[in-house]
Amino acid sequence: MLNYFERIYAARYFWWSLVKAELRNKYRRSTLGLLWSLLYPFLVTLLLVYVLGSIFKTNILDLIPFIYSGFIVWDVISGSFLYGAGGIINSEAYIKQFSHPLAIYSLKQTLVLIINALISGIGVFAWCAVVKPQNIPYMILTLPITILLLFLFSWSVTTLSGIINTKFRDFQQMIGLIIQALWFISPVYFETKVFINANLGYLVYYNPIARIMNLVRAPFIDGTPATGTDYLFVIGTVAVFFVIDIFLIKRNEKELIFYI
Amino acid sequence: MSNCFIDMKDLSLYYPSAPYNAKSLKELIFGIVKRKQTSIIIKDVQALKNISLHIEEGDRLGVIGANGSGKSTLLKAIAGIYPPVSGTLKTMGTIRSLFELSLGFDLHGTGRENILYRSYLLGDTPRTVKSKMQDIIEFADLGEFIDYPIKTYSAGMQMRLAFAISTTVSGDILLLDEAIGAGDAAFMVKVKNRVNEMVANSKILVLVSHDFETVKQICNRVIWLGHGNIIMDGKPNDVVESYLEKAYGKKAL
Repeated sequence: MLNYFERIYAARYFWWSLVKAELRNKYRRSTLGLLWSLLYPFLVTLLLVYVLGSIFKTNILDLIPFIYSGFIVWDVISGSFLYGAGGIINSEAYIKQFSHPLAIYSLKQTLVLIINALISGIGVFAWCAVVKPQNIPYMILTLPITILLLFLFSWSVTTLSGIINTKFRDFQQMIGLIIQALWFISPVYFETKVFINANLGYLVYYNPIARIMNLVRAPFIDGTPATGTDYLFVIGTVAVFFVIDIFLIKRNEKELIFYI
Repeated sequence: MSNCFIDMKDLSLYYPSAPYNAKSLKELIFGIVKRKQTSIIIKDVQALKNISLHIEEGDRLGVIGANGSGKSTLLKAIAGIYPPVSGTLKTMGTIRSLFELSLGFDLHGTGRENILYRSYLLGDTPRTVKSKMQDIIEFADLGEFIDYPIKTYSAGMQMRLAFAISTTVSGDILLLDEAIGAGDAAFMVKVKNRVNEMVANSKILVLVSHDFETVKQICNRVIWLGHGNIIMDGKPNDVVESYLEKAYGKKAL
């Protein structure tokens, strides 16, 4: 396995050039370009805050950071499953020319998602700096580990999704349905108290997505790091996905070219 | 002991049929209702059968055979792209391959950007690409189009750029698969010279080609593949003549 990661590292210039190409192409010929990564989640947040604030009669200012961060993190999580499903299939041209580890193509997708999230996150940082500047130190201290865990979670999912969908093309449709369901049972836009008040607290307790949301939100909204349980849940989830990925890669990587 | 070789023992490789025989729900239901097979069953395609081959440093091996005989599959097996199902394959030395040159362009990127992507795909680093960039641009001879998106290029222009990039990457083992394709006459002269340079700089060459004159000029050994088997292995003139006799029923001129 160590040799596999060495080969991934050896191919770093190639996968990094793919990341840059994808980010460049996303907004090629667009006037605002990469600014959309910042502007889009902000504008969607304003819309959702107005609607959900009116429905749930919640203080709009309290909702802004909650929904803003939820949108950004959910984009990474759902994108890892859905966008990840096409990772290997869409890299056919490269796979047929050179034998790089297939995980570099899922790595590329993860990096595109994370870089987009970081650009979007500038808005969250700016909100914190203006409204809750006393929470900035917590945010800065916990940011590296949060980004690392989000990156590892995303990479494990893009790899899993990419391998399974290459062999079983119904996977992409099925995972789309599962993602829709996960959205409803995760505190993406609905606060935790909504689930607890509806006796659905277990959905928040046992849901790794809820735990990931806590890792991101707790420092800048509450001014505390996330709990040890949150970190353990997320690390455990990442570890499980990585074990599954290692199994899938060992069993399937060589023959996947025949299924592309 | 040579520090550059390719060694195959009883190597077999097939294209599995499972990806192509997957049935849709519609076909499953129709098959049950009509009580008969509603689609053609595709069988596994045995591309290479018990190939044993040893290629030493200094060998310039030509691979000839009819379409579908397994030539390109053999190259891709050596490059580690297609996995064998049985037998062993050992290689010693860095492998550089020129096949599927038209694939892998970022059509929205410029020629200059694609030089970077393709060079990195083939194992180059930023430092080595920087030192070769000007040589690649001059060889491709695309003028101002080098800064235009690839989607504005003709097929010939894309091939010139792909060839210019791929032929600057050196390696111990060079695998060429009908890589010399579209291009005008002047460019073809440059291509032949560049290929000769690459061949001279490599320790092992494996060349798949239907151009028998090139094969006889460049190679010191030729194998004739037929239906995944090695039918003949020997001197270029002997193997090419035998192949042409069998294929066309006449002696080669």
